[in-house]
Amino acid sequence: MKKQFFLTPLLVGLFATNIISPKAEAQEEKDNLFSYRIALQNESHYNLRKDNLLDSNGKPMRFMSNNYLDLWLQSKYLDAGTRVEYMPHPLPGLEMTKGYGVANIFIRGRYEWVQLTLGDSYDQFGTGLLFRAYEDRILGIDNSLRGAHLLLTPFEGLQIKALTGVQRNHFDRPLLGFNNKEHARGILSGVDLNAQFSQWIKPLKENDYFASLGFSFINKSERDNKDLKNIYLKNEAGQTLRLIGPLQVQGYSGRFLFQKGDFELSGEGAIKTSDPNRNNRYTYKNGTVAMLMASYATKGMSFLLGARRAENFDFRSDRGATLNDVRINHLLPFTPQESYSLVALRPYATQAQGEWAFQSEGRWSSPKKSSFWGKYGTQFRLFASYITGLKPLETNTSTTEEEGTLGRENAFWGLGTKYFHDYGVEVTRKFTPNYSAVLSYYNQAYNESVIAQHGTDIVQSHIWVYEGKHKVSSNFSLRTELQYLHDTKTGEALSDEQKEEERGDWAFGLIEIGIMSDWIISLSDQYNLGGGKRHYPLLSLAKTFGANRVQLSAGKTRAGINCSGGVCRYVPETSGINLSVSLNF
Amino acid sequence: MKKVVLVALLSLFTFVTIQAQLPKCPVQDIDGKKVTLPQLIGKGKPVILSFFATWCKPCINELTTIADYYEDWQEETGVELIAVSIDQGADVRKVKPLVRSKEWSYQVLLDSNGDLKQQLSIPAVPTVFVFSAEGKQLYRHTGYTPGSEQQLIRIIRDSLKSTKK
Repeated sequence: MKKQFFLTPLLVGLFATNIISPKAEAQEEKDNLFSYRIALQNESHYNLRKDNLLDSNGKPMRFMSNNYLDLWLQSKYLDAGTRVEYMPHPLPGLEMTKGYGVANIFIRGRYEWVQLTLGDSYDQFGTGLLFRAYEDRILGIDNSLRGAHLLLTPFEGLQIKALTGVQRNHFDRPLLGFNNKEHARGILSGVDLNAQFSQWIKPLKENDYFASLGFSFINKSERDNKDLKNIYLKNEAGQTLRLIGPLQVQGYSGRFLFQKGDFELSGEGAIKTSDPNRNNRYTYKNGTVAMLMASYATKGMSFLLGARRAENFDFRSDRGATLNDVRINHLLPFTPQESYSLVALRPYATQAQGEWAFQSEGRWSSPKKSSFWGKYGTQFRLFASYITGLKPLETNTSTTEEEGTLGRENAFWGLGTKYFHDYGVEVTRKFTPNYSAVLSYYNQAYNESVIAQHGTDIVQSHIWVYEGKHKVSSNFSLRTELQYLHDTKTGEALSDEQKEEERGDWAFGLIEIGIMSDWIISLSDQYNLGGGKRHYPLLSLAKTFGANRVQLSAGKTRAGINCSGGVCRYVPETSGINLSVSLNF
Repeated sequence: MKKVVLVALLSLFTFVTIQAQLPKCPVQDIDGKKVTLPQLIGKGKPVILSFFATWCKPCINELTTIADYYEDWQEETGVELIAVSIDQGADVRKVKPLVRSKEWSYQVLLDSNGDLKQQLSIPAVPTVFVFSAEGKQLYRHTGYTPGSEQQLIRIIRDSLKSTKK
């Protein structure tokens, strides 16, 4: 009797709040429940050298790690999430991420066509030329926006975003605080509108035309920070004047995308008002960026062509920011992303201050079952990218004299100093059901002083790569890589300093064994035979446990620039043991 | 009475499901259509969800190898493969040329903002998921070695056998 009185109201209450509904369909039942997801990521390094990675007392740092714990709760109308980071001794090259605490926290409500997020959010306008808040753990970037983010999709084809907040800059503010009290950075506010208007115009929709237009606006409100590196100018009375940056900086952008059948044309342009900052040497002129891309893609063949011009488009929440801190926008390198280690030895970093970039790519798959091309056919990829600086209209002003002025004027169409090129060909062929290979050639030019900010050469390299994939049995696979980089400046032409800095030829070899699709063992070596004659061997073991993965490696990695998406960070040479753990619940 | 108590207690335990829900955020496919993962997964056909990028060679190896078996796999199990590109910025425009030149017949989604990548905690590509016809996550794996695609079809075959029982 008592049990019945207790249970009936409980059951009625639970049904009433819709938390459980045993008669509902499988899909609705899921929607009525809360679900969670947990993810843990650990990247650690144990330094084995005595003379490398020294702390402030001159002693070698031993154990360094970056740890990330993500928790999400999801339901039909409400989501919430948080991320806790723990890196009291961060990995080499990620020193800026030092600290620990709650790095991200948000709550999101969703109803019909409205979605509101309070807390930290990530998003981008268009391709991110004007605004992009994202996370990249390899580079130590997390410029999430803490504030409010509204997303409206009132009807098909229309999307409106509105956001406001302050960006994250590592651990420089209290747990639920917005800004750093001693050195406050700017407050961002923006709106973005995207309209797929081909959905609304019947003849366009029926004839498979796709067209969309987008517009964005962003405003940065940054007060004067007296501790900023100041530009001192003297006025007529001989008094020293201090730079006060403009309180408001606005950015406007427009974009379009047009597709019909096999053709596609897209473009995006943005303009930023006067924004003197450390990266543009405190000059006052507007910034601009414009990009245009066209492609033709049909069965077995495609061709793509693109161009982008950027001028004075480094945009930060803090006008004194350096490295990759508090970037508001993101200009990806307008080059092919390379993954072979010698091909990615000298990667391009976007020069947002001024660059003209061109790239093209063609792909072709030959017919199959051919005596010449093979039973499975042969695939080709040709690509080229070419980047230069802008052409200045006056060549005799020194850069230090630019401070406090409008800045150097550049021609719109003219091409300036060569910065980079990367072109080549890649041929892929499957010879038997168990063996396929890729053979590639790359030709690269790399302007050291502009991209790496040291050295004076334009490094010219020829790179050849062979990659073979063998399916040995149903449980074993083998992958081999052989790479050779020939630096056109070799032997006698290289100074001792250049040899130390690892110019000259390089060779790379790799063997990777896959067992039962769960284990991957690999052994590789990178050897600078033309320069410092140093080997960089690495032995690695990776195991998958369901949704989890562990990788242990030991060896040497070379000092260099680690790039991802056009932004780079310097990674010092390491000698030791590395552990990488990824757990998902 | 005891049955009511039992049902009530069991119902309470389903309050928190161990099966994480699919992210609901909309993404575009390469033809510009907006879709969400819950619209595509758990609709009566097993699904392979493969995260890739145009610059990721093992990803392209995996998807090219599966393409050789895809027709047979579809005939046997009805499986659908959804390839999700994590290419960013202007690289998004390289996805369709790649897909068309390789003659892949998969549905391709563009996660250029990284929403799905973040909500599914994808540390690297390729990462592949296998979902049953009812939408239950059966398998998740990061990395590709030649031959590991056979594991995907094995899991799907096993799941179909167990539902027939």
